Amino acid sequence: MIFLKKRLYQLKIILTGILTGLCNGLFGAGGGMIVVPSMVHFLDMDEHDAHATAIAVILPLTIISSFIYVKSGIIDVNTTLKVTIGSITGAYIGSKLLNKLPINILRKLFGIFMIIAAIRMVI
Amino acid sequence: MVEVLIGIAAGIIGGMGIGGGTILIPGIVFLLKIEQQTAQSINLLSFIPAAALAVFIHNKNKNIE
Repeated sequence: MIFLKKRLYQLKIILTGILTGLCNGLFGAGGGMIVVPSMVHFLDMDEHDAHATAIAVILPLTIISSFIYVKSGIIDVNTTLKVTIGSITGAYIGSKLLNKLPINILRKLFGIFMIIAAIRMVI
Repeated sequence: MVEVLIGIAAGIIGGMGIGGGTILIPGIVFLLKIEQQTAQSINLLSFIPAAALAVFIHNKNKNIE
């Protein structure tokens, strides 16, 4: 039984990955919107861990997508550099902040950002 | 300067695994008048080092499974 449970869990992990990859590939973004709730509800992960792990999951996908953009010549080096200086600083603050944020606030914030993303996709 | 501020805001949200691109792309498009596709490229490229740092910190805090 334990063996079966472990196998089922592994299968769920693979399914979560495929779903995330599919959404990311199809919509060009939004893998995180799938992977966070999937890990929380499907894999019973702690929400803080799910958010942190989501970044690790999205990172390789981002690298692949970036290659395609750079190869197509869609690139603005000057702005990218300036934004990157900011985003590295922000990422440092954000990742230090994550564990200090109570789950109910983290959940609400994530919800708000999902709504913003949804509105953007519709418009 | 606006570029750096947009980056910081998006970095904080992105570093918490909430979705920094959600504010980064419209921020770039509306405030800097840059095209949507280029904004997406900026979003992806700037996310790579930021996410790498975030993953490093989250891993140190044992938040990554």
